[in-house]
Amino acid sequence: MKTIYLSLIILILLSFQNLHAQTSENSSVKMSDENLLKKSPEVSEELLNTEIVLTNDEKIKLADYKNDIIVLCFVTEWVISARTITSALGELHTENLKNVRIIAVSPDDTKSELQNFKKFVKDFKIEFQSGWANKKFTNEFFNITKFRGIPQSFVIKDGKLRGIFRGTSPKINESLMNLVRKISAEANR
Amino acid sequence: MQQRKMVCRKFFGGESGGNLKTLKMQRKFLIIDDHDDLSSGLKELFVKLGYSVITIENRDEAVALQEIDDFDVVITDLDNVDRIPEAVQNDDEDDSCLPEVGAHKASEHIRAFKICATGFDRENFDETELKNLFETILNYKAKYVDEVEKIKNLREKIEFEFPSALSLMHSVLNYLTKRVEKLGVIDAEDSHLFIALDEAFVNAVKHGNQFNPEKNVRISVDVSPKEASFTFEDEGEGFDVAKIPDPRDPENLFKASGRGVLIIHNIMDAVQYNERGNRLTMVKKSDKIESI
Repeated sequence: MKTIYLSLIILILLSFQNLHAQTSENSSVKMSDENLLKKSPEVSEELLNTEIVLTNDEKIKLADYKNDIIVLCFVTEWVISARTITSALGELHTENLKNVRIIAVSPDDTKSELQNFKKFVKDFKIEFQSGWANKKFTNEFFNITKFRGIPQSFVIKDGKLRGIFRGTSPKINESLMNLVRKISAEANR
Repeated sequence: MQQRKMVCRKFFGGESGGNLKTLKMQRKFLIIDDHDDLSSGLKELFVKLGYSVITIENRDEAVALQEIDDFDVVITDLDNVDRIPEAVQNDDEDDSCLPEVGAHKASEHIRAFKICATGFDRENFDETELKNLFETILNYKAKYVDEVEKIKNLREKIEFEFPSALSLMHSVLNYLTKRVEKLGVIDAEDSHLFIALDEAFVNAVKHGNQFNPEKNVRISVDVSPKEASFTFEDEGEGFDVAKIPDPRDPENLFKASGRGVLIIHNIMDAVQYNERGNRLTMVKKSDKIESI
């Protein structure tokens, strides 16, 4: 799986400015994208029922939380900026918003990568659910955004996409957190 | 008052303080504030939560204070360097929990803000409590004290000292990036500053202090109209930056080691490690000098 993201790493390492230019020309990278949401509002039944194996070996599916607000975030320990979003999600988690379920999923698939991810979860004291799923699960979500980079976050409510956030930054994180707070407030009115 | 109650509810899980109300031991806080916009509000919050809070507002009291090490947390918010005690202006080991301002021009207006938690109880170390404290202080300051302003003859010194705890990262770095933006010095978003700060923070806690809460992390930020300088120091053994593998070398493409340092160099305008390798200073020049 690492090879899939190798081009992204090289871009970050060799030409940070280029990456910035690439992301800036498409403003959707920075904020939740309304057009994407209009195009792909539904999360398929297959994706909702895909098994996610958590770091504590428990198995879950997005469908298990169909009445909740799901924040699905793709992160991995070898992407520095993934820590930034993880840290923000940690803060959101401690707010104990009613019916909000945060799930971090690593797109990695080798044994050593998953061991590293487990260590990352432990080291960073990630208290929300975290684990991994099959390649198809990751690819299908990445196909929605047409962006094969990490981190990416999806806010799902009632099987529908309510927010898509590609990348991370203080403003992106704040937008994500505010969206989740807003949906939670609406749902619990 | 209503707003302060909301802050209390938000960060402690209830108007009366949630689980922090049941603290097993009473923490002692010292707040040194020469303009009373932080101390009175925070004191009200923390006393309600069962903490013991002493506030000091003038130079003589601060200088005379002998037992500063007895406090779990010392918060300093001084608006004018001329009113900062001499002991604070000097690099005095005995007063290490107070801000260090250093040499400055007479024409400069210098502000100093510091949270020092090196006295925080380590025997029964509660990282969640520490994280909530930092979040509360920083959110309160950002919301009720800090203003959006262009700094002309102003220098602002911001310092944090705390036990190694990764969970503090979001609140500390969020505050810093927003503050330099509020001061009109750097666009935190476009500059990717947050990535460099993230890397430096994690390196200090993870690689430097090996997650050991007995060891402290020190972050010092000096913001002027021209630039913002960030120093991260840990209490680890340090490392030789020259020995880090070059991640651009094809042989190292799959090694995670070295990527962070390279990214820091790409984002920042100047990067320097001390000889031991446990202190990193990074400077980001202002991208808005012309508009000031």
